[in-house]
Amino acid sequence: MDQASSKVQKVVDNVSFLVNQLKGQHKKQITGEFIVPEKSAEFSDFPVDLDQRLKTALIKKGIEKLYSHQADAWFSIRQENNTVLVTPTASGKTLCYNLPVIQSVLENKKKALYLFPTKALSQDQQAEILSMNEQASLGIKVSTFDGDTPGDARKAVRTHGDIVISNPDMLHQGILPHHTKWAQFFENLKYIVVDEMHIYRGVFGSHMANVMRRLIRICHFYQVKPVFIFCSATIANPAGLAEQLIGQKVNAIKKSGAPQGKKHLLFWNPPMVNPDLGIRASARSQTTKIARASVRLGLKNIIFAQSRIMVEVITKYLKDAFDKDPRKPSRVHSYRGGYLPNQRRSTEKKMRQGDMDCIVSTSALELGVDIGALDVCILNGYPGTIAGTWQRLGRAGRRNQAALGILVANSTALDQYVIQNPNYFMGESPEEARIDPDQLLILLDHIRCAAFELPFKDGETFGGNDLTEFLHYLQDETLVYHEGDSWHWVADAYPANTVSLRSVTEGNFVVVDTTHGKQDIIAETDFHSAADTLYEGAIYLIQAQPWQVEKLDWEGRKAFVTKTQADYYTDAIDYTKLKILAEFDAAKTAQSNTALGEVHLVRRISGYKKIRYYTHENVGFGKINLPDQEMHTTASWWQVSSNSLENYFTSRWQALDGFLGAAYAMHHVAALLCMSEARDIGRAVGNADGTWFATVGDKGRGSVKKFNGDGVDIDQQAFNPTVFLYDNFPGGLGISKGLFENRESIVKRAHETIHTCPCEAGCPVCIGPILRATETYQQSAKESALQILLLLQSENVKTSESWTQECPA
Amino acid sequence: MSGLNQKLTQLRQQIGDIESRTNFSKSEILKSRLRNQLRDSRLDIRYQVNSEKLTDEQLAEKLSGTVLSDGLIYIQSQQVLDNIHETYDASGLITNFDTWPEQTSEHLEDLLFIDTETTGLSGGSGILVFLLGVAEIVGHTIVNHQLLLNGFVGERAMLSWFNNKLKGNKTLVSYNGKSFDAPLLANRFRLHKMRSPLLALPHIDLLHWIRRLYQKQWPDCRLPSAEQACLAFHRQDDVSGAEAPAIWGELIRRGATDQMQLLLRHHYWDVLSLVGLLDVVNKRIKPVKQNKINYYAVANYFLRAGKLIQAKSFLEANRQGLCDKGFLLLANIYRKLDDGMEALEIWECLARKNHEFAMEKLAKHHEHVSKKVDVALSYTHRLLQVSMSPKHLKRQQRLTKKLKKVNC
Repeated sequence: MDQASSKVQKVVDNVSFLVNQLKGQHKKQITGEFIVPEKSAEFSDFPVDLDQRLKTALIKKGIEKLYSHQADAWFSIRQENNTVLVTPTASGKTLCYNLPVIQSVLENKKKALYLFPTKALSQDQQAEILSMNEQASLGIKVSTFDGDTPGDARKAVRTHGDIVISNPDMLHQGILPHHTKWAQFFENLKYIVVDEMHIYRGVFGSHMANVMRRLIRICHFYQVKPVFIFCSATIANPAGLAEQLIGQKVNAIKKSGAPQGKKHLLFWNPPMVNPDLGIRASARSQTTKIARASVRLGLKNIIFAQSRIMVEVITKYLKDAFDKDPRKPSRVHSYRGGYLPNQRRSTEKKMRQGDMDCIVSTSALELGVDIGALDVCILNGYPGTIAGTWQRLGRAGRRNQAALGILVANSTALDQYVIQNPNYFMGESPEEARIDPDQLLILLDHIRCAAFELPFKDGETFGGNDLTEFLHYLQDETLVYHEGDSWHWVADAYPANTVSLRSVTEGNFVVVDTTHGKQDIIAETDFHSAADTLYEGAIYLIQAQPWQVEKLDWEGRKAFVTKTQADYYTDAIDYTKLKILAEFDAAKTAQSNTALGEVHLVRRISGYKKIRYYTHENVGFGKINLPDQEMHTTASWWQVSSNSLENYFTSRWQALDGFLGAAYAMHHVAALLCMSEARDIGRAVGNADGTWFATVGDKGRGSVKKFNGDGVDIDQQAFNPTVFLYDNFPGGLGISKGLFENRESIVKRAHETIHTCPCEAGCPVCIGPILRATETYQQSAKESALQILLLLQSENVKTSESWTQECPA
Repeated sequence: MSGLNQKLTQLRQQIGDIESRTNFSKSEILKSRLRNQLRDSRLDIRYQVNSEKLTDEQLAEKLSGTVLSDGLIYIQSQQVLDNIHETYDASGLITNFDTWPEQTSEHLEDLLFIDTETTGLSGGSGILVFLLGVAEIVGHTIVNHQLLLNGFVGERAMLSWFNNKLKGNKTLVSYNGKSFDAPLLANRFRLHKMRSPLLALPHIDLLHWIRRLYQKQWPDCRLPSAEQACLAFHRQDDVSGAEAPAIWGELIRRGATDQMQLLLRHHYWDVLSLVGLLDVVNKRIKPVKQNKINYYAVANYFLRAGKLIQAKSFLEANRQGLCDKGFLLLANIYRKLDDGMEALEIWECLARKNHEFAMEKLAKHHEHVSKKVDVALSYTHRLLQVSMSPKHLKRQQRLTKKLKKVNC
């Protein structure tokens, strides 16, 4: 055995040694373990029509054959099929689109537009193509076009760039509204590459779909029909999302031919320190502990943290352990946005050359950047999506060599949910990226932008939407002018500048720091969350620093704050009233009813509680006087028939506890399945007609109120409790539709979560925090929630006879 | 209000859109805004809220123009060259224009003075040129053509008319037209899928020249400032260009022409001023004695355009007004023209004021050209009193060594 391979052997041993050590000493912390088996490469020969120059460039780069998915992509794209590539990290996906794109530049001077969500990625991509260029003097002109491109270089990019690398925001604000300047580019545009497609979901994705509609409309004007190439992390609906983004058929390539080393995955839950409150040791302490053990074994590590500050903290702790001697080169480095590019390049290089042992990074390093092979990847906290988790875990792993990935959970509900349900990570991805390209406000924004770019003709549609009413609306606003058969833009405004692809809000609030007579704007929050966080008396947290809101100027959209030292935080008390306006779809069984529809929601924020840190005791109340928040949105809702409720629950209170607990679990499952953050989805429990609603009171038990805040005797009311999960945006975002389609899965998985949760009576992982199980209730809230979820599972019991048979009584 | 209308307004209220959050409808807000403006305005008939769009013929009659084609009104006016704005004589152009430093058409008749009024200042494919002004010099007269759109339908005809004008060996003259008017017109040509030589033509952008000459003296270089300072013309009862989009909107929606008449006059003044300012700049950059302009910037322009002799004679003619930078430029030109003595004289003159760069030049000259090491060293000592830059220190060391060698 030569020296190199013996070294490799040793590393493999150390990885398994570490796994065994962790499993032996911290058995309780490991909630899940998988082994992803080794996979050998599947190759294909170079396609016969591949340009000789390209072939030379590849061979010079040491590539003699393509992986099978690269060849599959070549054939699909060359046949002018829109194509989405779903491939793991480091599988050579850039070659999948670079080959056909460069070929068409060489063949007939066609052009391509690459869209990356971030600037850093664009630069790496440009470097990649340039290196290929050099290998065989291909003479491809590749340029980035973004906010940093200097004015005098822009013209050259527009007229001479063969491949232009940009981002959606620049396309939206800088390219499409100036398409006439880009005429030459558009006339020859053949390929549009959209990388990191799974990022385009929710608000951003709905905007993106409309930017694509505008792009296709402009292409149509220049009489070209470009082929779209998407790349995505693994999600449940890659082709579906791609098709929704461009409104055209898209061919999916899901099978990767890239080799993969064996991968060991551990799910790690920090130990419980206060079982009553459900407080666990911090993920940070666990992450550093594991990293220390791993570095000592001589393994190369990468640690992903969620925030820049957490990167710095973990780096400091590890440096304290390993870089005490300033004369030696440091073994631990941090890597995050906000560093200078050459600083980042140097860190990348050191890592690639194996000159350090541990890199601590934010998601800045998640994609594309080459840092060589690593042995261990530790995720400090769940990255928010399963797809994102896999992308980061993909960082560890050398070809033909075992690697270890460890997911360390935070104590947030979603983290806890995921860490205790590791089965989500096995098999097909359950995550669906949801968008609503026809979200009214977003659609209206882009119709405005599109009208600026080219006049609309009578009868013209936009993403299939009839525009007549929209255009009349814009005419009333004196933005467009109808003449002959066309609608012309006539306003002195550049609409794209007022449309942000990342939000739907217009009336943002600014937070002004007035400490010591200053007038500094220190934060901005959207209209939507202002009422919850910026009421007078609120403690507003920025980077865990407390500020107190002194004055709120609602009309002027300003909150004035001063720095404070409070040992408490504030929590708004809100009453939500939901009224069903229309039912679009419903699935009924004898026990239950699940529906999708439009709702009207009113929130009144009546006051706030001051809650002391750590002890979580209530230390005071305050009143809030703000206008009611109204919202029309879409929702899915779940109800249980009154017969069943009477049969299965001894009291209405008991049933309500069940609904509240079930709603909590369903909310988290829903967020996970729809790749949303929990706050993108709203949850409410109330009577179907909006007469009363229920919230979780101080003791963790249900409390029922009318909208004006008056208490209600629940036994004297109509009783049709309903769990609502709604899109937390005016006009909705298509999430509820996904929830309705996945209704069974949501109920089933919520049941599973609560059922398998080891807590006694309910905890933040399953039905939400319950302080104590009082004896006045005959069954715990947890049992009630399980009962509700069982009743909501339609397939279990089909008829009214069968539930009587199964009735425990 | 239709269903969608209502829904959109509601949703926009829910996201905190300021415009739509009151109970008033948008049009009511607009009307009240207009009423307020009306009250404040000197021109009571500014907004004729209930009237109708005019036919092309009606509009042409009101504006004393003719209908050139569907939706396109043509208005011609003339002005003698020697009495622009009744304040300025530009007839010098007739005899004097032949030394213009940029590449231009040979004949004065081939200059096209252009200016546009648009539906917005942001740029982009959605901005329309609704009023195009093109002026030519014919003999001693300025002939001004104004093309006004009475709707989008006239645009194509306007662009073809313009394209016809551009035929032959033409040169454009504008104020900021290289960045604004020309690209905007090029956009319109592309939207109509018409080819145009517009961007390939020689183009004199007078804003650039006015900046070169006056940027340091004036608070700003906007056209009215140039008119006041150079043409002694002060606009009165003028509308501002920023109002143009609204004025055109009122014309096509409601047939309001009073403001449009003011705008046409405003636009006519703009174009006339181009002719006057061309004459001003033309005179200012002649190699004769000039008053209070940035000589350095002009000479530097000549230099960068490769016109060495022109730069030299311009600077020489204005020696009295030159700043240090101007003198150094002149010295540089002398050196390039192998007139070392002249250059030396300028440097020595500046060195008397302890001008660092001049002293460095002298030190270099005496070290390498005249080989007077002691003189070079004395300049270097003086240099070090001004600045302790390492290059001066190095020179001092080297010269001291050399001097020792010579003395040995």
